[in-house]
Amino acid sequence: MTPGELGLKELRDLLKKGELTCKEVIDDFKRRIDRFNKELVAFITIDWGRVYERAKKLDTSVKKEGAIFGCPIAIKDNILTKGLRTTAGSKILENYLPPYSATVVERLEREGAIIIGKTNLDEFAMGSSTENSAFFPTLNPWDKKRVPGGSSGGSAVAVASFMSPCSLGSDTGGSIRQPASFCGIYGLKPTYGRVSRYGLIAFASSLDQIGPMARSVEDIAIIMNVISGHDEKDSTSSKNPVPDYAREIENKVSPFRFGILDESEFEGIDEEIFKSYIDTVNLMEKTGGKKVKIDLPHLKYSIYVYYILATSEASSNLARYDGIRYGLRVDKETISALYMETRSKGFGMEVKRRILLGTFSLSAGYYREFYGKASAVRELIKRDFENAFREVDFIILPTTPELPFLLGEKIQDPVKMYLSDLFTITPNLAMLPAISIPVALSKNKLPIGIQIISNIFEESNLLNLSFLLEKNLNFSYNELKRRYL
Amino acid sequence: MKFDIEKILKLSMIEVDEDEKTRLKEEMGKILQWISKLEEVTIEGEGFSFLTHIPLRDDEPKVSLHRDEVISSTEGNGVFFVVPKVVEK
Repeated sequence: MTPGELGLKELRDLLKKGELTCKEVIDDFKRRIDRFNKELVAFITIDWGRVYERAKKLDTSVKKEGAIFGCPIAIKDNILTKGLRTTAGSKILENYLPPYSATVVERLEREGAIIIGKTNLDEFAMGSSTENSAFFPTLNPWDKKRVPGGSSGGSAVAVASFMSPCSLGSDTGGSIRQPASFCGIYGLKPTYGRVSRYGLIAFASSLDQIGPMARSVEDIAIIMNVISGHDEKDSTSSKNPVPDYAREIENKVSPFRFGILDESEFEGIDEEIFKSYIDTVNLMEKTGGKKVKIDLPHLKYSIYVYYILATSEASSNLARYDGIRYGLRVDKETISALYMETRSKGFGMEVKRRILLGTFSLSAGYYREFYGKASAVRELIKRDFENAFREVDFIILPTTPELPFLLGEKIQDPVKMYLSDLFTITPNLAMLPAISIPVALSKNKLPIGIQIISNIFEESNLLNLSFLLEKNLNFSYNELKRRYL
Repeated sequence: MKFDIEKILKLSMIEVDEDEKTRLKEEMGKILQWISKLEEVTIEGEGFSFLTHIPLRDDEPKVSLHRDEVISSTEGNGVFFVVPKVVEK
């Protein structure tokens, strides 16, 4: 048994008892990162000096305290880490050293975590394959010809290939759940407001949420215990009390009702994914769930709503990258030429595309027709879910319409790429928590994920059910252990 | 609906070369056509409601970031940010 395959609780307990040292744990992860990060390229930045310094500080501390004492965690590179380069996967922030850490990073460190490195992502989290990173694409550890999903592709790969026990991602329209599904791990997008966004580089502020990625529901729950809760630096963070998720997953699951959609909603999705979806529905019935057919009449519009609202917010959020205060600057004679050159050189194609679409949606003459309309339909989508959750406790959907696709397969066709988010964007629009669970492998040994959505702030029930399904599904990491551990 | 690529590029403060411009114009046309599906929905009432519920906090001074730390990762003289001239005649 190496430290690399342990869950957070076991790792922490061994470290606290002194049966392992933080240095030994880091040595073990470093060995794998040295060997496999060259080919999978999950990380953009690792500062081993800093990592070992932190390990030493924890090893020599008198009181070995904290819920994740000594546990390594990988952080998506759009979450600020004080003094440690944070790029958002963009040339425009290639050399950016944040003067402060995100609240989630502070909370993780307060509980004893070791930040092992910063993971690759689609530039500014805009993408579904991690191919939009300004630096390099990350590869899927199940099949290196395929993408790991995105935008939190690096965070998913680090966990799936045992380079880190867990990671943080961010999810604006599926950026945690889709790569979790493509890499065969668990990924939770919490309720909007459950986790502070202070220090998350903004993409679309009304949709963005930070969440955990791991190889077990228990580890997801442990990280949620640490990062959840109100933060006065994020006025949209909620004051709702935070339950002890890690304890409550063990509770007996009480009889529940779960919603399924009419099969016509799944036209065109991959057959093997559809079969896994049906299998999971059957399993949920066997474990005490009552299946209820629900109707979400505006679901079919969510992808259009999403691409208008997310790009509108992005065009506004990304206006701050002007070459004046921080980040890349391309010097020019006039100030407007400086802005133009800096932004044109600093942003990649997908980011430009989204800024243009957002600027258009917000521009005079089109605002009402685009942003206004999308915003009104978002309200209808939210109401559809409110109505559904009067009848059911959970809603089950596939996480993705297709299996992990080949590198280069969709990068030239934005609309095709956008359709990868078909099932994951609605929880963001309706602010709901949603988890992707690995349920099976396809014939070609590619992982399949299923998504379960619950009502707002019902993460505890969601994780409780996920824990029960995990025990019944027995999704195996043996193949990945054989390759990477 | 007309997508005026020149106008939108200018509003976005982004420049692209002619090839990219042609490509972007075509892609934007496709994306906008795809999005126009939304025209089917009839709307009564207002936009999304969550922004009305953001709580306010008391206006009290609090410890903020330390000046030296903020300045340390920027070009500057250790006291102020130094930026290019942004005011033109």
